[in-house]
Amino acid sequence: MISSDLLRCKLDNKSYKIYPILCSLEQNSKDVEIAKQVIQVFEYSYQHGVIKEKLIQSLKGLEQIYKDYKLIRGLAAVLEKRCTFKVISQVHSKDPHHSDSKQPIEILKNFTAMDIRRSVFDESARQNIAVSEQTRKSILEKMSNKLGISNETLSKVMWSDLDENMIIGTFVPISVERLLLSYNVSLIQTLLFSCLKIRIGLGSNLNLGTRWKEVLREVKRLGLMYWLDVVDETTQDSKENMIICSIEGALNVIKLTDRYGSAISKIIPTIIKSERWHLQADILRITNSGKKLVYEFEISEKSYPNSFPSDKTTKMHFENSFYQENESKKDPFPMNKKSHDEYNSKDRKNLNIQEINIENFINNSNVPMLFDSKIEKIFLQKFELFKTGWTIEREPEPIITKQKTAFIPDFVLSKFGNRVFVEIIGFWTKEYLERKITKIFEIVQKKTHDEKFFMILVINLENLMSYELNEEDKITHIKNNRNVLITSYKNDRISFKEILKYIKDIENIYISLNVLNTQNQNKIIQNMIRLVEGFRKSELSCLYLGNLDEMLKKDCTDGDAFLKVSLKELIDKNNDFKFMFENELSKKLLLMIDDYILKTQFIEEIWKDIKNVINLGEACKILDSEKIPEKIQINLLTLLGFHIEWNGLDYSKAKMTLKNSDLSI
Amino acid sequence: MIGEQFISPYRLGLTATIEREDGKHVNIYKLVGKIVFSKDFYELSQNNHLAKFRLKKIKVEMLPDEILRYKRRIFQYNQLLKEAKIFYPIRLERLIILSANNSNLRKALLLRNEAVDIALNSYAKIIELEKILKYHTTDKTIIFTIHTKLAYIISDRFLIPVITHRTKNEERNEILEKFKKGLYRIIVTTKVLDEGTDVPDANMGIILSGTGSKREFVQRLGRLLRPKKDVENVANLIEIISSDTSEIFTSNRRNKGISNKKQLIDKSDQ
Repeated sequence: MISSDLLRCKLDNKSYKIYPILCSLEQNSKDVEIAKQVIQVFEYSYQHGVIKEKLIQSLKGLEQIYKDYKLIRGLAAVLEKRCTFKVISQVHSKDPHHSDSKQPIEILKNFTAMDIRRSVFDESARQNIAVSEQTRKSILEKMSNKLGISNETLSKVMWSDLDENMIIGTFVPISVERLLLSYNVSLIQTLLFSCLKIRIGLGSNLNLGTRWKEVLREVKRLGLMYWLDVVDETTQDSKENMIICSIEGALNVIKLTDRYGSAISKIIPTIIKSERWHLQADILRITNSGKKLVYEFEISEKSYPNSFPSDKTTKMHFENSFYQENESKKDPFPMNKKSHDEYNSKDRKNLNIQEINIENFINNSNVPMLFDSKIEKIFLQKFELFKTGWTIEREPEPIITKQKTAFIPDFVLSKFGNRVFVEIIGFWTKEYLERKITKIFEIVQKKTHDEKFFMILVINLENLMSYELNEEDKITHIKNNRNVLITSYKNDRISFKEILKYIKDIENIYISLNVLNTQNQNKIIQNMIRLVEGFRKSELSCLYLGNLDEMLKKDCTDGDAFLKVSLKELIDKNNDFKFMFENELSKKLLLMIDDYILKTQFIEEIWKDIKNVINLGEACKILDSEKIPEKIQINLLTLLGFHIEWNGLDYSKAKMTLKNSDLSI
Repeated sequence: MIGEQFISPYRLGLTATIEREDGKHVNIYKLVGKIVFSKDFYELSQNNHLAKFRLKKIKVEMLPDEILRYKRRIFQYNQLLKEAKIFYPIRLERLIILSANNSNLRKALLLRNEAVDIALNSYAKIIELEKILKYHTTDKTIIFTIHTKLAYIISDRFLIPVITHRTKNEERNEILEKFKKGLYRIIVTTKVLDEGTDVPDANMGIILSGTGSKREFVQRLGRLLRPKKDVENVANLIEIISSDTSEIFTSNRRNKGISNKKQLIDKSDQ
C-alpha cells in the first residue's frame, strides 16, 4: 500500500467519479522509463552500499527531472518493501571492497553503535563536554585509541544505527513490468482505504473457472463484513450468472479502521486474477474546504487495458512470477519477520504468505492445508477432539440457495445427511449482524418443509466495530432459533458447549423422526428378537451389541434410515426404544450390561462360584475363565451386589464385600 | 474525537496549556465544562513553587555563505510564485495543496523548505551555542531543537548525549538517569521531551529553532522550571534565532504565550 498523500487520481466533479491514474504497462511509455530509473537507483544503492539519506536524495533528483513526485515516491514505496535496511557495519563484513572492513566487525562483536556513543559521551562528560573543536578532536582520538580503531571508523560507526545512515541489506530484484503492476494494485488498494462500500461482481458461470470462488473465500478468510446476492445478467450472447459481493467499507466502521482497511486491500490481487469481474466502490473525499463528497470508482477486467496484463498468456506469466517472487521474498526475511514489530510490515508479510498459500492450494492439492485464521484452526482441532461423530469439512464451496442468496461457510458439519453450516464472523457491527440474521431467517421461512437448514454463527467478540456498552447484550438480543445458533469467541476461546448441544439436538430430532418411527422400530425389534433367540440357544457366554448391530444391518434394505445409526446410539438416545429393547430382553431372560448381552441363567451360575470370594483379583480370574470381557467385569460385580473397596490400582489388593445377600435379578 | 467517545459521565480535565494554536480548545469546554481552577506559571513562580526564570533572546546572523544560499532560494521561490501569478502572500498550507498538481509550485515549495532548512539549521547557531556553553560551565542544561537533524549535529559536535523520537527506550532511560544523577550535565533533545515524560530538572534551557506553537513553548518552560532546593537559583532560558529570515515570524508567534508575563521577564532581567 502507498500512503494516501501519494494517491494519483482524477476527479470528475460533474458525475462524481474518481479515476485512479494507473501506470501503463506498454513498452516505451513514460511510466516504464520512470520505473526503470527508480529501480536503477535502488539497485545502485544496494550494490554500492549507499546510505539511505543519499538514496532519498537520488530519488529527489528523479522527482525534479520527471516532475511526478507522487509516482516516483509511490514506486519507491513499493520497492522499499522489497528491501531490508541494515546498519552499515553489519554489511561491511560481507563486502570485500571496503578496505576498512575488518575493524568495525571486530568492534561490533563487542560493541553496538550505542555502546560506542555511550563511551564517547561519558568521556566527554568527564572533560565537561567538547566545547571547542579541539577538545572534541582530542576526546575522539582518545576513544578511538582506546578501542583500537581509526578515528574515521569511530565517527562512522558511532551514528551507524541512525535510519538515514542505514544501507540496503537485501534487495529482491523486480522487473519493470512487475513493479508497475504492483504499483497499480497498490494504488487501487490505497484508493479503497477510504471507501464506504464496495460491490464486487463476479461471473460465476461454469466456463469461467473457479477463481470467483477464491475471491469469496478470501473475503471470508479476512473476516470482512459481506453479503452476497445472485443475479442473472442477460446479455446479447448469453445468460450470465453473477454473484454480487457487497463489502462494508473501512470508513463505515468506527473501531479498528486501519485493520479493517488493510484487510480490504488484501482481496484486491485475488479479484484482479479472476476471469470476469467488476468492482464498484463509493469513495469518500474531503475537499480542501473540509466538505465531504462521495465519488464513485469503477473498475473491471476490461477497463484500464494498459494497466493490467490483458491476454491470458501474459496474465498467467504475470501471476506466476508475481507469486514466485513473493515466495522468494519469503526466504530472505526469516529474521526480519520477528524483528519487525511494526504493524504495517507485519501485515504486509501476512499478505504475501497468504497469497502463496492460495497459489499452493490451487496448483497442488498435496500441500497440507494451511490455515490463515487461527480461529479456524482452533475450531477444527477442538471439534475433532470432541469425537461427536459428525464429520467436519473445511472451506466448502460457496453455497447458493434456491432463494437466490449465497454464503460462504467456514465449515460444514454433517451427519445422517444433515448439514450444519458454520460461519465464523470476524469483523462485525450490530447492524451487520442483524442484517445477516434477517437474511438467514428469510431462508428459513421460505424453505420447504422437507428442506433442512442449520447454521451456526461464531462471532468474534473482540472485533466489534462499533461502540456498544456491552457486546454480549447485543448478541443475545438477536434471538436464537432452532435453525440458527449464535455463539461467540473471545481470546481464541470458542464456547463449544453450546455448539455441541446444538448439533446433539439436531441428531436427536433426526433419530426420533426418521429412524424411530413406529414402523422402523417394530421392524428392528422383530429382527432383534429373532437374533437374540439364536444367541440364547447358543453356547456363547455373552453377545456384543456391535455384533448384534451388524447382524441387524444385514437385514436392512438400501436407504433404510437405520443404516446410518448404530444400535448403541439408538438405545442411548431414545428412551422409548430403550424401554422396548430391555423389555424384550428380560422376556428372553437376558440382561444387558454396557455393550454386552448376557444370559441370566449364566450369571446365576457364576454367582455360585464367586459369592464367597472376597478378593477382586480372584473374582476377576473366575470371570476371565468364563470368558466375560474385562470391560464389564466390575459392572457385573456391582450389579451382583458387591461393594468394592479399592486400595490403589491393583485388582488383587481390592476387597469385595457383599451388600445384598440375595440375588436380585 | 476520542474525548467524545468517553462513556464516563463525569470528567475532569487537567492541563498545563489550555489554549491551542488551532483554536480548537473550545471543544474542551464542551467535553469537561468551563475552567474551574487555573494558576499560571507566573504566579507559581512568584510563590517559589517554580524556579524563577530569565528569558534571553539571541539573534544570530547566518554565515555569509548561508545567507547567499538562503537568498538565492528565496529569490527563485518568489520568481516561481510570480510565474504562477501568485502576488499575494501565500499561506504554507495553501501552497502545499496547490503544489500537488503544479510542478513549478512544487519546486517552489521545495525551495522554500530548503531556505527554511538553511535558516533553522544555520551553523551560526552552533557557533553561538559554543559561546554560551563556554560561559555556562556548571549549569544543568537541556538544549532543544525542532529538527532531529540539528539535534544530531549538536550531539556530534559537542559530544553530548541526544534523545530524539528515534532513540530507543533503553538508551533514552539510561541518558535520563545519568542526567538526573549529574553524570551528564548537558543533553540535547527534540520535541520528544515536551510532554508526558518525567524529565529531571535543569536550570538552563537553550532553544534552537521552534515551531512557533505557544503551547509547546510553555510546556518546554514547564519542564525547565522545577522547584529547586536553593531558592537563589534562577533558571535561564536562551533562545537562539536567525535574524532576517522568515524564522523571526515563527519566534514572535511563539512568545505570545508569555507576552502578558513580560513584566516578569523585564524584572528578572534587571
